[in-house]
Amino acid sequence: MCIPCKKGGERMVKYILRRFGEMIILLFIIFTATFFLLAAVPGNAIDQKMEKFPESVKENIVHKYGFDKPVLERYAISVKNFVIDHQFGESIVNPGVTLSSLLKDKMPISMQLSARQILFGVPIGMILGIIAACNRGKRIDYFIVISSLVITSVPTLVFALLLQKYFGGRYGLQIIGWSQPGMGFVDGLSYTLLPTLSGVFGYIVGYSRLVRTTMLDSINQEYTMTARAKGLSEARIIYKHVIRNSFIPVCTILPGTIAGVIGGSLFIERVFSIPGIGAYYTTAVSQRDIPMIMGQTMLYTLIYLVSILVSDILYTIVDPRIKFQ
Amino acid sequence: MDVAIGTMEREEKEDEEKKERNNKNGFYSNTIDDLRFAKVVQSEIMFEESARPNINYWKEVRRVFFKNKIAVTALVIFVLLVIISLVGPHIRNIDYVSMNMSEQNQLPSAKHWFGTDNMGRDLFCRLCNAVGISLLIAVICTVVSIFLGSAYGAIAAYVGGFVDEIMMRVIEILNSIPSLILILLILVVLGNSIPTFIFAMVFTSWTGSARMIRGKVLQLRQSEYVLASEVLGATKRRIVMKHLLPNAASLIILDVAGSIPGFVGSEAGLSFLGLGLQPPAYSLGSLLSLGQQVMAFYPHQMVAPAVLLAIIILTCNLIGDGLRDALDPQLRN
Repeated sequence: MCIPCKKGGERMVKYILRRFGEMIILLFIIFTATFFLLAAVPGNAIDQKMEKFPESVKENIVHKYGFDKPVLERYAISVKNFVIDHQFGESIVNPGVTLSSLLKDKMPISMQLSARQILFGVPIGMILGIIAACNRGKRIDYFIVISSLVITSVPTLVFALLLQKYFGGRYGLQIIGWSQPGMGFVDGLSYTLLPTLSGVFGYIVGYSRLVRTTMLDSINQEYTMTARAKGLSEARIIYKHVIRNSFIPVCTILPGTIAGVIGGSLFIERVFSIPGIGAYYTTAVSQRDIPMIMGQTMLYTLIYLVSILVSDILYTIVDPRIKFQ
Repeated sequence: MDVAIGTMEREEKEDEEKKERNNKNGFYSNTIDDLRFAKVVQSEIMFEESARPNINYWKEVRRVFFKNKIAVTALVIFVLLVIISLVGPHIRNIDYVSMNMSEQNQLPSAKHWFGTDNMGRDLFCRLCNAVGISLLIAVICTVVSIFLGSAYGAIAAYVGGFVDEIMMRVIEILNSIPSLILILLILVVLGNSIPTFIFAMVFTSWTGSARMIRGKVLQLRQSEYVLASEVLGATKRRIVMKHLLPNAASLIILDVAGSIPGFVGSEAGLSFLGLGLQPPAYSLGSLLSLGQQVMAFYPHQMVAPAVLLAIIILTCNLIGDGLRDALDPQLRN
């Protein structure tokens, strides 16, 4: 890999700064849009909470959460809270729960689930893809291609449900729940194996297809033919010329995968009753818990935007043909 | 023959006129013996006949697609599924709408082919309806989102410049919110109903088609064969009909084939989470979540919708793969 020359480095810093500026503007636009959209909806969690309370209590509660103020003032207050004080609001439904407490309590669980899926799924998928591409046209290639086509057609949700039905509660595996903090990796496995497995297939299949196509692409390139004509060994051709080039798309898609996995695990969290952050988001949405919806929407968007930025930067680093603009 | 002679005469006349014109300009100062340059009569020439019938693009596509056994099998299964789901509830003379507490959670039998659910409703009929609704929603979403997306992308590419810049920025902003989050937010704001649900799914998915069509139109407008036909004096209409539309058409068909299983899957997922269709409306996703609640004792209630969902998505994907092979001449062997 070439070391970026000085001028390239300068350009890179400029590029990152510009993208960063754009990101902040985008976040602000999304914040504003989300705020006014949510403000336009008549009902929210407070109404359900205080249905049976007397009038005076209602007024006090509405006043406490600041919902008696005009919309623009509320907007100004929440901008100030978000930007200056970094206060992301407290849940109306579950008093005491804030975004930071969510990050502390629930985020690690979701992160563990995601990390396990990626750590198992991506390497296995890549290895299968390499095997398929090296043996193209042979039986093992057909097997991998056809089985991956079938497996992509099964939604994660269906996988999770079937695994839970036929393996949960047997073979020492738990039906629902997640490992407690004190448990070691092996003890926790009885909880974590099934949720991880339900998500892992998607990654295995996705990455094996990706690696296979990109590898076949570079196998058909002229530089591979040159390498072959030079008389290099097959292993050296595959390792030095084919795999390296076909990893470009993998590198650039990986950040997106990492960002997307949090949303993708939503179904798994729901099926296995895992107390993760995705499950909390859907509850917050269905209960119209406005402060939590705002906070989590911004969090997800931030993660997503950062991952897009990282993948764009990775693109230019991994593939020297692409320049910063 | 008359017509041929007529045109010949006209051509001769034109030739003479031309000669006269040129003579005035002093071109033909030396007259040539005209006999040596006798005009060949057009109708006497034996035109080359092509050895085999001329096959146009769409005929060829059809031929390649129907030769693909996997894709055709998938198509047959898919069509059968659709027919069964449309006809099924009508040929079974069973009330599957109202509760029937005497027939709760029955196992599959001759009367109830797939058993009954926890309210004693026939699961076969409910599954048929669910497949119908899931597919209907997916088809509506696909049609609307691809129509909007293609129009948007084509306009952006055609107008270009400043307008294009703004239109693409809008797409960028929409794409920078995770789609699931956007769908949930729209459902919170507009409330749960089938139209808002369709709107939410369309709103998050049209950007893909828009980008694709914009790229294709830009690429086609710059391509050399379009330039060549422009130079040859082809009208705008001819370029659009002959070059832009057929090239974009295959892309759009592929987009449709790829979108339908995607929408079926995401609709099922959202309905499973309880955020999609609200009872009494139900789809495969709702049946899945109902099935999950009684999964420990009556697994068939969960397995049936799960397998159906997988079959629908699989057949759609296989048909899409077959179409891709048929539509893209570069992929053909």
